[in-house]
Amino acid sequence: MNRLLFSFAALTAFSAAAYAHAQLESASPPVGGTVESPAQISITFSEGVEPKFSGVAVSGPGGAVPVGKPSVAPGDDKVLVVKVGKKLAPGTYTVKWHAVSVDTHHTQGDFDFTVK
Amino acid sequence: MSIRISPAHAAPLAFVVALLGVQHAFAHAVCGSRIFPATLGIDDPGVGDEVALPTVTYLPTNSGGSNEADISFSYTKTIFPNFGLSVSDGATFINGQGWGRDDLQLNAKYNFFCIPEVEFMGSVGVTADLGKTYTNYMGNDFNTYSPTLDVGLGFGSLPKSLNFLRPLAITAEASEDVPDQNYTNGVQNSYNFNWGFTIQYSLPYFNANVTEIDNEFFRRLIPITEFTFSRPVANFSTLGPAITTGTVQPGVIYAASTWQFALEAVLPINSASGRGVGVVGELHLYLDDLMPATLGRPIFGANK
Repeated sequence: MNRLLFSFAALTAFSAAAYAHAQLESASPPVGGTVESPAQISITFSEGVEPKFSGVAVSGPGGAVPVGKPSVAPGDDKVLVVKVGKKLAPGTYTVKWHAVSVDTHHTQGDFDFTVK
Repeated sequence: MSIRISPAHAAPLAFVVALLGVQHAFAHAVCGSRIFPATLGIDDPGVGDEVALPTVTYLPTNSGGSNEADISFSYTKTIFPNFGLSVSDGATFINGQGWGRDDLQLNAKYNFFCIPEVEFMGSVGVTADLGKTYTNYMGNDFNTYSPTLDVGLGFGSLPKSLNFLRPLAITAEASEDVPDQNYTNGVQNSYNFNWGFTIQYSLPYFNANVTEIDNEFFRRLIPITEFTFSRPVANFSTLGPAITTGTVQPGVIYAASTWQFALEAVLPINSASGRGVGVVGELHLYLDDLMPATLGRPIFGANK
């Protein structure tokens, strides 16, 4: 039993420095939220992501919305950011994202937000 | 010390062992936006590097009428990205009979499709239950081979008008137990058809795709109900009429980034399946997330 406990302790000790599938924890604009026209979309993941291999696309009432190249927030590679290329008219918009975590795991998802 | 089983007890014990077999730990899987968590009653539809340490089961009255506790572990290693091997083992305590080791179980599994757009994936595999693995054993006297099919479908591709149904997912499993000998101590070893399914509602999926959940604890929960069934289909003529046995297991999974904890009640569907409300719990570690550069990657064909 001591060996089992030691093994578990050793495994969980790795977790502090380990990476995983990058799952969306929160976003701005919030998932399902209502906001003024945003200047940027930022998505906070559970793990660090590689902006070169990650992407965000936004579409709304007028079709595809131009967005900038993805980057990570200064000093925090868990936050993926894209600039929104124009002021958004009121309506519901869909954000489709895909992310590659720093250990190469792929994840993807989509969510809506509303501009009032 | 060996625990010898009389022919009169062999059939009910075989079912007990079959029940225990469905409580072994299983893997988690990713397809598109969907993460299928490791489930306790049936396997999930994917292949991954992981370890369940431990899975603990308590049944107040099992199908043989005895009080029972079980502890087991499982380790799965990917050989190729979509192909893995696993080993499971454990021990069982039956009140009145004492402790005994379970049969060693070996499994090979191949994830043969994933359609990410519709969160639909499936795997085929085979499990070998090796009888008389240990001197002090509580398992079978014979080997059983079980070809298995697992599928999973997330509801994420539903239209946005049904947004609140998109976190739903179902998984299902079908397998057949094929014993390597027809009789043990003059008692037939039946061929059993096993099937089961889960219905799960993923709050992590809800948080990421529908509406943000402010509470960090709740957004990691996956309420789930599992259903498992088994029925003899051949070589059981002297054992009495074929009776479908099984369990319904409502519970919840807490899914962190690198581990999960699952807790489920175990409700027998009829008296042949046991009596009273049991419980099963499991701590499950995602090695592909905990140690992606070492133990958590396939031996061949990894991305880097």
